[in-house]
Amino acid sequence: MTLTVPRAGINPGRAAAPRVEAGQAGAAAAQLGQSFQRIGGQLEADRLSREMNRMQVDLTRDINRMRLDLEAIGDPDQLETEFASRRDALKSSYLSGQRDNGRPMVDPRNRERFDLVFDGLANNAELAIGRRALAGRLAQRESTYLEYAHTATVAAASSDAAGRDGYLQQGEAMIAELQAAGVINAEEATRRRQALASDMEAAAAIELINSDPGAFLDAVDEGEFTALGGVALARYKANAQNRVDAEAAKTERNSELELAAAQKQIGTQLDEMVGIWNADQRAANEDEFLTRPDVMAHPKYPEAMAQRALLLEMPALNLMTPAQLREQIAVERATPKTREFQSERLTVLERKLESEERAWAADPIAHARAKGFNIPSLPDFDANDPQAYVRALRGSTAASAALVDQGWTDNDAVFDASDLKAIRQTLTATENPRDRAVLAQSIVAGLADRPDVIDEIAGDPVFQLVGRFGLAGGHAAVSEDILQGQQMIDAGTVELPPVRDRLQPTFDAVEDLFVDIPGGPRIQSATMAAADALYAARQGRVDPAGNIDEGLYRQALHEVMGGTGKQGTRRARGGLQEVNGQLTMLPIGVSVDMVETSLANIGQVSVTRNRRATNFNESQMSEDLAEISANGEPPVVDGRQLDARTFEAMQMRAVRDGVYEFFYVNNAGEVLVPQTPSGAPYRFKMNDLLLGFSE
Amino acid sequence: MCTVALAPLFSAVGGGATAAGATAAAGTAASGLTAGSLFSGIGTALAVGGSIVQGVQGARAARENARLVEEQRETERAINAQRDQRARRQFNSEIRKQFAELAERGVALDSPTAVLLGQEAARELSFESQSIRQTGQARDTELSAEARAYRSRATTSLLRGGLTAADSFLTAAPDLWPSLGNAA
Repeated sequence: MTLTVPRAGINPGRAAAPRVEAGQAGAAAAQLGQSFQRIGGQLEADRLSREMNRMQVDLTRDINRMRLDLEAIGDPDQLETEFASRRDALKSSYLSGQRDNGRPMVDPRNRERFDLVFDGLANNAELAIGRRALAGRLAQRESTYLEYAHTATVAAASSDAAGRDGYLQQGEAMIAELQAAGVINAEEATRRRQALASDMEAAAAIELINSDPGAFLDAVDEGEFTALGGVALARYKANAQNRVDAEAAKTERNSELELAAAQKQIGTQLDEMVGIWNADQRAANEDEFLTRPDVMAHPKYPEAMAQRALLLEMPALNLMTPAQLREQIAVERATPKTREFQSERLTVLERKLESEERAWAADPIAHARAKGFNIPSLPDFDANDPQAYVRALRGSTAASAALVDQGWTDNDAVFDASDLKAIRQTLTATENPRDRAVLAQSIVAGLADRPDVIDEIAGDPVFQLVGRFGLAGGHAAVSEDILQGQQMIDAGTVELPPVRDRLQPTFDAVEDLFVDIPGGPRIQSATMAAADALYAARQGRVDPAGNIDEGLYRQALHEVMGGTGKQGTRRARGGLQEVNGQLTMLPIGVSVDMVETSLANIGQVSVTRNRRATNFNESQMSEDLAEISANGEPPVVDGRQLDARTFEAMQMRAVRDGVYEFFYVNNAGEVLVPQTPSGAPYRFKMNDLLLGFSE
Repeated sequence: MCTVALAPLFSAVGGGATAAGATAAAGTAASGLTAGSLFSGIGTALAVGGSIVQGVQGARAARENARLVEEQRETERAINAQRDQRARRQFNSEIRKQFAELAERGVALDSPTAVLLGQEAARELSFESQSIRQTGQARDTELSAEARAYRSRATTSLLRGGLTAADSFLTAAPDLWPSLGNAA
């Protein structure tokens, strides 16, 4: 049996094996530092890049600006000096300049790039400037040459061939220099040489042609001016030849002109003498003048001598009528041509006749006055003494008639231009209605024989009507009212309703009044215008849109036609009245009763001696009507004698002043007028009717 | 020796960075320092300083480890001796136990059998002791090598820290001294 003995292992344990690790703080810091470094580097690189870009832009701008400034400098030497100093100044301004934040304009780290960029841009600019300076230098040389060429050409114009050669040699030397300097090539040099020679010779040629074309032609013949070339030389030669020819022609023409001027002067003097002789006077030195040989050779001389002879022979030549002149011409024609200037005498007479006829036809009154005829001149119109004016007007009319009667002229003009002007001025100046009425009356009275002249000088129908109205014994007050009313209408202070409105309502018959009167429409319009004026003067303000006062208007019409009293009453006389129910114009002072009574007495035969009792007899009626007839014949209707019934149906109307006719209306509505057996319309005089039958 | 060579450089950079930082903090623009260059400066200082510190730290740690390995080696040597001793003692005890058993069985101790057994047991003891000693010897050699390696690493760490700092510094040099190339 074994005893258990506890035993431990032989292993005594193990040794500790600790280790330490190195701290990583340093590594971390280093890593952070590297990050910082990287970021910082990137930031810096970015900043520098931006600054460089900005600077590049600025530099480009500054250098371009500098270049533009320098473009203004013309002198090439100055241009280059200026460029160098400006470039250096610009560069140092960048290098030493500071930014707003105090940092240098060019970061030292950008210095290298800045230099590259600046030099690149500056080199470009320098190239351009250099090219320009070079061009400027060439242009200066060119300019010098051009100036020389111009001066030489000008000088050559006035120098001889030897002088021109000298100028040409100098010019050629300059051209050779230009060619050597490379400004122009050989081709251009040759061209310039030729041009210079040609220009100088052309200048000399033109000068010589202007001063002495003949000398030029001689010089060409001697072999000068060859540099001009064939075409130009031929042209200049032709020009010189033309001038030589023109000079000769001019000399010839000048002598002709002088001769013509002398001739003209003699002619003028002869004409003046004829005028003096016509005035029955003698000219100074006329005998001496008329015997000068050059005067006697003048074409006008025979005529002047003929005139002189005629005037000596017939002093009254100037006072001959055209007919007398014609006779004289006939005599002259028939006279044998034995005397000196015979044929010229005829010409003088014919011309005289022609001028006389023309003058008479144009303005006979003025011509007559020029001849010294006694034609009365118009005095100034005086309203207080109108008779003087009337007398003068009648005198003028008579003088005009006398001129026509005595065969001076066919033109029956009463006034010449100055008279007409004076009359028109008087008409315009006379505005007072009273004076104007007197003037109208004077003109109508003075020119009663010449109504056409009245129309010519005073065309206003109302004016004429007022004149006739006054002459016929109308009231002066009515005349004044008419003229005043006319002035009011003209001045626009009153405005009348339209014509139709004025006439239509009651005056249908008014138009009939004038229908068969010669010049009826004209008289009617004058009458209506006068009635309008009278109505306007009496009514004062008139409303054009309102109704017309028919009574007043009818009264105006009545008075304008010469009526007195109130129209339509028994007291009315003359003017417009109803006879047998028909509106009729009656002479001044005649009443309806007088007319109607007289008409009723026609054809009555006295039964008793005192004619108290009468019977109607148709043949008596015919006799009575023949008695008052204008041509002494009785009226007939359809060839038969008028019967009593027809006569009673007759109405009457005025056809002229104081002359009336009967008319009737047949079943067909036609207006018929009885005729006399001789075929003329039957007309009677109101005066005869009233004288023979009013009682 | 490298530490000594780089020290003035490091202090210069660090001082400059400090001065620049102070100026920038003062808000004046006179120095013209930009954010980028400020970052670069700070980064360079940090990178250089960090690298050197890292080198020093690595060296210290390596030296400490070398010391620890030496200590461990001593301990291991003692432990190995102890173990050898204990193995011998245990073997002797077994031999004596064998003797006792032989005796108990009546085997004369001087009999050839007993002598043979005795010789054999002594040989076994020798084997066992040799094995233990050999193990201890191997362990000692390993640890000795490790300690040497640590010492070498300390030197390397210092050198690497310096070299890395120099590398960072040189990387930033063109930025810090723009005129570096021009000056030469």
